[in-house]
Parts: sequence; structure tokens; C-alpha cells
Amino acid sequence: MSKAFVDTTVLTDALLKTGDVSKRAISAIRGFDYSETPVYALKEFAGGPLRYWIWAHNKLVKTRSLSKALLEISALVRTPQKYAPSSMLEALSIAIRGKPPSAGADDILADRYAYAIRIDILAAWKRRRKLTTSVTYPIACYEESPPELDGDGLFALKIPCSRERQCALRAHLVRQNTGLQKIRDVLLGQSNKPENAKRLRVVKELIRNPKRDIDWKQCRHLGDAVFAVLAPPDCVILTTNLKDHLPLAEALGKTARLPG
Amino acid sequence: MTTYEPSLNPTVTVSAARAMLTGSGMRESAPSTAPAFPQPIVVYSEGSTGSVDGGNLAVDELYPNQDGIGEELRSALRLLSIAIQRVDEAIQCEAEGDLVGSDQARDRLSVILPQIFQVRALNDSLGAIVNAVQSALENLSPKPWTVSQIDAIKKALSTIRSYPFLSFEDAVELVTSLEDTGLDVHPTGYRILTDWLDVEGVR
Repeated sequence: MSKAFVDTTVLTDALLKTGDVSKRAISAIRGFDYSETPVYALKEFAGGPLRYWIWAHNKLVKTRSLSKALLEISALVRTPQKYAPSSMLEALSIAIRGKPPSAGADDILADRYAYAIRIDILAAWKRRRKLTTSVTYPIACYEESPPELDGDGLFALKIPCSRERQCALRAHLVRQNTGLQKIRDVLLGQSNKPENAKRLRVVKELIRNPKRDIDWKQCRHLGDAVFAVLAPPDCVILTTNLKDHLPLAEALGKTARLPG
Repeated sequence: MTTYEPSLNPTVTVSAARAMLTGSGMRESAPSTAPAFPQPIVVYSEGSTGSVDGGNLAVDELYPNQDGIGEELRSALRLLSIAIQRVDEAIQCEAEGDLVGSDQARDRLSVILPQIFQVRALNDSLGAIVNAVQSALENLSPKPWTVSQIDAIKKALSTIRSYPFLSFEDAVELVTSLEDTGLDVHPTGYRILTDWLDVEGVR
């Protein structure tokens, strides 16, 4: 029986992306006999991509202008490499190109984008636990609450982790101390990347002091390491970030692959 | 029977719904100064969760002669009726194998949708559904539409025509059903924005 352990990138592609990207992710998951989503992926999804979609929605509602919203978003977003030469202006021209005159006004476009994002946010939330056969590794300190609009038409931007409660992920991880040591060894060779350096610090801390609590920031820094450690040995880690996941998975005798 | 009970959006109050029906042009979040309405608005039956299935009254049952409803809503209902007629024309043409006629009906539908979008202040579900259909047609061009896509568009437009104050949760379902037929319901350029918002993209 083929089994998949779905990471946050594939979850995001399936739930929030459009067109072929979404279809490929969903089709990859359905290609397995069994699939599971760890709650950590749902947490990363809510604290990352979903939060960014909400942020973009709120920009559109607040500015009532697509061009202003894009300018404000671009100030905080690294332009993907594929759009690097043209950046903002090309995006704007593509966004506005082909619209009939009656639909070309900036405020109308802003509303159109806002409705589309709002639909996607709510549809993604509704489907997040239905994408895979099961949802595993519950984390008590992760507080799921649905995205809701306030009286101004803005979604609340929530951080899904409880600041007060101890991180419940630690208990899942320290049971696999040998696995953590192997992860540490791989990360030692990759610590030039800032996110890996942060990850390494937390992994070392968990190995040294398995009973000491980690905080929500450390939990977030663990990222890809969580999937490598928690994935059952007979599961393939399904990810679009093979470069980072594969060495960690292989160190534990597991495997990772791209969707499609 | 009971008064208006939206299934998802708690900001739509009875007074806001009254304001929308009487055409004061108010948005959902500004109910407090809504003018008085002469009679209770009965939309959903007792115990309704807001679904359009089962005992809910359509707007034509509530107001068979459209008496007492505002100009914006009247305009929306009229334009939605025209849009549905154009979809029906396309269905008829498809049944007769007249692909040019079907395409022409689609063009005529495309022209009416931006006009309906102008009255989106009536209800966000109306705006979201009309936007989804409009985007779907824009993205589909120049490819022909399929019978299942036409049917899904008709269902979406007919539902919002019957229930112009549909909950947003129900609107999400209808838009999802459009996507299930292979339609891309996002405005042009949407993909670029969402690529920016990718996992690693935001600082």
C-alpha cells in the first residue's frame, strides 16, 4: 500500500493555488492509497500562506485599489525569480490587460481580487482536513480558529500558536532522539542557510535538553525537520521543496518526492 | 418561520437586510442607522442553517410584484434575469448543435455581468458569484464552453437571482461547483499575486 505524508508546500498548492498547480498537488495525493497531514502542516499553513492570503485580502479591502494594494504588498514580498525583470509594472499590466473598459477601474479590480481571495481562503479552510485520508500528530498548543471577517470586512490576522501554553510538538519529537541526532548531522553540513542555522540550534537544544520546553518561535524554526522525524517509515514525504526535505528524510532512511 | 438568519456572516443583521432590501445602499456592516421597514423579512424557515435547499423562500415568493424593494435590488434582479436568459439561449443553441449561437449568447452574457457587478454593495455573495462567472468567461476565451460549464453557470446565477442575500458560505459552495467543471474563477493576473504570497515569499 502506497502512503504519503503531506508537507505544507503541497498542502498549500492543493488548497490555495489555482489551475495546474492545484490539480497536480491534489492528483499526487490521490495517487496514494493512504495519505496523512500532520497537524504541524496545518499550523504552518495557517501561520504562513493562509495568513499571507488574508493579509493580501485585507490590503485590497482597505485600499479599494488594486494598484495601491500591490504596491503595499510588493514592499514586503520578495519577487519570485521568474518575474524578476519586470516585477511590479508587468504584474500590474498583466492584471489589467484584457479587461473590458467597464471592468477596468482600479476599485472594481480591487473588489474582484478581494472576492476571489476571500472565496479561496474560506474554501481552503473548509477543505484543509479533508484533503488526505487522515490528520495526525495533534498539537494541543495549536489553536485552530476559522478566518472570520470583522465589521470592516477585514479578516483577523491571527497567529495560530498559543503564547501561554507549552509547545506540544516537543513531546512528539523527543521520543525520536536518534532521529533528531541524524537530522542534526545533516544540518551541520547545511548551516550556511539562515533557516537551517536556526533549525540546527533548536534540534541541538532538543537533543541536549529533551525535557526543556521550546517556544512558538523555536517550533516554527523546526520546519522541515518535523516532517522528516514524524513521517512514518513507510510513508513518502510529499513536498515541492525536495532540496531541503530529501537530505533530512534520507538520513532517517525515509524518502521524499515531488508531486506529479 | 423566523427572521433573516445568515449562516456564515454574523454582520448581516435584520436591520441591515432591511436597508439592503429597501435600497438604502448600505453595506452589511452598517446596520444601526437603517430605516424602519414596514414588515418583518422572512427569508429562512425555522431551524434553517442558511442553505438554499428546503424551506427557504426565494425573493420572488417574498415579493411577487417586487413591491417595497429598493431600486438597486430591483436592478440586480432584472439584470440577473437577463443573464439567465442568455445562458438559456446558450443551452438551447448547444442542444441544437449551434456552437456559433452558443458563443454569441456567451458574449452577450459577458456584457451584462459587469453591470450586475456594479450593484455588488447589495451583498458580498452577489459580488463574489458574479465576479467568479465573469472571470470564468474571461479565462475561457477563446475556447468554447462545455455543457457542464454552462449548467454550472446557470445554477450559480439562478441561485443568486432567487436568493440575493445568500450567505457567503453558500456562495463559496457555488463558486467551488464552477471550479469543479474546470472553470478558472480568478481574475486575470491573480496567479501572479498568489505566487508572490508563496510560503517563502514574504519577508
